[in-house]
Amino acid sequence: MENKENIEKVSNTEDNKNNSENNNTETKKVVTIEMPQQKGIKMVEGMVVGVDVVSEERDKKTINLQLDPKKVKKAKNMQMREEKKRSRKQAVKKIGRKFGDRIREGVKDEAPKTTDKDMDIRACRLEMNFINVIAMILVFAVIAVMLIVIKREDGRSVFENRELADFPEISVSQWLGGNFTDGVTKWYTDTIPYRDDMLSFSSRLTKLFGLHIGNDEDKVILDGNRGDIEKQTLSGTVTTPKVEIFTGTPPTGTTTDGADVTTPSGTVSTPQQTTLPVNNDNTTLSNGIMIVGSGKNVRALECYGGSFSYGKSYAEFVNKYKKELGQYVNVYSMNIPTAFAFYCPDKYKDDYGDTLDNINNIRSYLDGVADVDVYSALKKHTDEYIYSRTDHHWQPLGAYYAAQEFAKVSQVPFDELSTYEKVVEEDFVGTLYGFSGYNSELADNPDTFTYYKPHNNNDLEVYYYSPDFTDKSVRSTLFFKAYEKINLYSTFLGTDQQIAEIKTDCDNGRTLVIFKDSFGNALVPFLTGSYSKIYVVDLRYFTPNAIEFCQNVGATDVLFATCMFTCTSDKANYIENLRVQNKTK
Amino acid sequence: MVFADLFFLYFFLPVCLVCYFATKKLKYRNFILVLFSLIFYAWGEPWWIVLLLLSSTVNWLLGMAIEPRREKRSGKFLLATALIYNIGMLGLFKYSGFIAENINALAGTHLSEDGFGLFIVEKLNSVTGLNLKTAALPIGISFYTFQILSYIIDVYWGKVKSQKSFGKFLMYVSLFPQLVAGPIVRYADIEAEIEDRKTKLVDLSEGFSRLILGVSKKVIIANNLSSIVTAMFGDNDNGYAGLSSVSTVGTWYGIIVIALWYYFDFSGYSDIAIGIGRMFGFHFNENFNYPYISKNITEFWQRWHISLGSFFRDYLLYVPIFGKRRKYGGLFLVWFCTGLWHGASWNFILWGLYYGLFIVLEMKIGRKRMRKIPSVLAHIYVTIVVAVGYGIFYFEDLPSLGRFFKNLVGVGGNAFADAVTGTSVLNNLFLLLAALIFSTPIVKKIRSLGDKSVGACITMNTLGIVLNVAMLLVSSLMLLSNTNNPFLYLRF
Repeated sequence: MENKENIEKVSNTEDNKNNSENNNTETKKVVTIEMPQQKGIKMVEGMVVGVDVVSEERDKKTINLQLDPKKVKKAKNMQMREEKKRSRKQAVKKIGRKFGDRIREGVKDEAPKTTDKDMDIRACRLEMNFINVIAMILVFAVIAVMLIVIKREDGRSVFENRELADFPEISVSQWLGGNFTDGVTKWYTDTIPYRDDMLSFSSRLTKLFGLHIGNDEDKVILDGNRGDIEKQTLSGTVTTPKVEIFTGTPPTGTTTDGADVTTPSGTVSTPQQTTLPVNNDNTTLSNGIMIVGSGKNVRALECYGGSFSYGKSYAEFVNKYKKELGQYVNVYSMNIPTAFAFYCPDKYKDDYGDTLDNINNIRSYLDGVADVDVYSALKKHTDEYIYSRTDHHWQPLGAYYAAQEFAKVSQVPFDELSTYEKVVEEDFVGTLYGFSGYNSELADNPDTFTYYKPHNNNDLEVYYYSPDFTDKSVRSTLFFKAYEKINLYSTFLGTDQQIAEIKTDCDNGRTLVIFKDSFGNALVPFLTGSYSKIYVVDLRYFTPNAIEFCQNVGATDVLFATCMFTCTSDKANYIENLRVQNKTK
Repeated sequence: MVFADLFFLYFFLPVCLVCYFATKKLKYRNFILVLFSLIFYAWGEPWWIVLLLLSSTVNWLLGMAIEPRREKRSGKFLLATALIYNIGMLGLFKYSGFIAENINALAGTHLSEDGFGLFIVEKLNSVTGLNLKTAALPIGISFYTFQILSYIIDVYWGKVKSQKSFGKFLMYVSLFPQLVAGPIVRYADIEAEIEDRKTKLVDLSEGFSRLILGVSKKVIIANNLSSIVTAMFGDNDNGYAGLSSVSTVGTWYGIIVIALWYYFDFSGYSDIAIGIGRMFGFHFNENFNYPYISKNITEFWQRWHISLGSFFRDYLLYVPIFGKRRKYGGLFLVWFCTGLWHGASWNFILWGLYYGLFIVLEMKIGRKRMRKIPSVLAHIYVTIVVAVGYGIFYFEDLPSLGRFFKNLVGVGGNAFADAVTGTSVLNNLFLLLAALIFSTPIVKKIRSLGDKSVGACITMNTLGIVLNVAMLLVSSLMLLSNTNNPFLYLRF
């Protein structure tokens, strides 16, 4: 590799280009000088962007590389040092000379057709190639080694609310099925050291992709897919059906007999399970995320796109409960808007589903079921802290206004907010941070989570059951200390899966069963002064038959409290499923 | 395994490079390459490696058998056997479902539309009790089949000598840089390097730079462009849900982003393949040559996926069909196949023929007259044809495609413009600008400034090295947030 002597001039550039094989042999073990540039085919070696190597160029490669690093490293270093010295010398010499001036040097004489400048550039290029290779090897090696040496993350991803991938089990069938190898790749990326910090940094980088200008109202970031939005508007006004609420005591022994016997028995006798959506704890982001505003006012919104047809099914499903439970059991439908309904900037409203239209659509199909107009109730308080900015749930205050409206409809007593003990939790960064791909603005401006403990909190008899309504727990409590800030919303009732049973000191003898998604949890504390007994059932996990359950626990009131994403999507099917599943009679 | 993946970049590739350069003997290096290529291939769907090995063996034998019989009838027979075997395999695995689908539609039969691959896997699963992943299409089959075909035909034509060593032949077929998503490297192009090759300093340097360039194109630009597209249109998985609300302006914006996305995705992959190939001393031909600076569609296809276009041009164009109208017959066949190659679906065939139509149109107009068109108009013409073309490419079911066209001309009942589109442009302004700039040879021109003087050379190269490191780090970070981002061409 003594290229100093071996710098040879390969004559007749044009021919050599075409006569590759010949050239190839000629230049073996030799540092071949690259031909003068011609016809605009400029070839730069060792550069980065937009490398366009013309294929002929390969035959005039510069140096033979021995790549046994340990053995040749020393030699190479020395050689490179010499190389550097020489090129530096030439560079220095060049200074002060006229552009394109010739240098008289031994090497040059052997290569009369090449200018000195070309020589210099060639040497420089060689040198830079070497530096590039060293730099690249270093970067790859350092990262590769770090990723092996540094302790990997494991367990739960707090922000994404899921378990990180485990290293897969190895077995022949796992391997043949491709699960092992897939698992390794997934695990490798998923458990990268300092994952959360890196992801948040990465999201800061993507923010550089565009302009985020304008006042808060205009400063919007859209993330995720646009879903199927059925832009339907209702024709005419919706008349809210008037529903008689039964507040008295049902005639003795009629809890079951009260059921409307004229119920179309077709659907009842042949339980037909509806297609269920994939059950996941996280709200699926079918319509992407919108991030509005900045600083303290930044707010992440789940873009809404509901479907009228699912809304209709929802109403019909709920109607069937009323029919089967009979006149002495009140059934209510509470469609809880998400923050998007109130905080989406006006100019985007046309691009997404309209919450009020969808609620009105549902109302128009309700039959015998009392509608709880939470939309109007919340609309009046949109300048209060009724929705979290970083979480897809509402704030307990929003649930308070909803519960108030519900109490009004169901004609039960209701405790004013002032009677509650206020608990404030700071630094609440909710689920939308993870959903937004770690949008840093959200993390930098966390929510305050304020919840309210009822005055009778200590007198409440709270028990939890497994989703099949067995395994009664010991006496428990309504509120839990959330083990992670992101899960502050699960302060209420802990997890979604369990069935909660709450006996209160309220003595009106009414029993409420709430079929809910996670939005319903926040309602419960505000109803402890309104019902003697409350059962809280999650639509997604409950396994017994819902009608039988209501009858067995002696429900006087049944409330469906779901957010718009549940009652106007295929998740509404859960409601029908609960009604027909696992009948014992 | 895919290239744009941390495991590949920081584990598989480094280990492979260390092993490869640990020995100087070509024999061992070849062995290492084959070994790692097979591991690479087997990573996703270990089972299909059997097919790859089978095809390699069959064609290796056929190649050797054809060579001495080139002039004889038996040679013709062997060539036919090889063609039938290879095209047959491709047809069975890639198109059987599609063919069944069409037969069912036409004849009202009820053939299984799952395709042959799925059928085999399910049979195997039920017989052995294993739980093989039921992927219907052996990954990369379109690419390696075409590579093998080029070898067999070239052997028959006498362009290349047959490969006597199975190891070397297997290395050619399975070479992991281009195995699963191209470019389609012809045996003739790397014949010499299969026999003997050296990695020079400049190869290594260029190889690294090219690899990083490709990864950045894919991860920084293409992946983020693809989120814009799915934000506008939705994707196949959600039934192109966005079509229900996207405006006319949004539709045009969307397809232009699709065009950019595809370019960066495909050319990024080719860059990585070429870069890694170069580290091992292989010099693959360029696969993309700034297609979006083309002034007509003919030129576009000389710059876009060059290895595929030239494959069809060299091996298919002269297949005589349509009797006297042979020229058009050949053209029709080429563009029909180009479309079909991209996927077993009518929209791809439509897409291929759509281009064929413009090619014929340009032939009719004539090269000279085409040249007279002012370049601004020519660019607008190409942009519109290509962008609309990718609309056809993107929407895989015909109802969605119909809806797309309605939105495109503004009769779909959606708004003319919408706020989401404006926000999307603003949110991604710099990304879009970068994509536009990097799809022209501007950077190449800037780089060539480094040829002017030593000072410029040092400056440009230093800048290059710094950018290399920066782009690699940024890409790696961005790879974290997206655990699943396969290259588009993996499907073919």
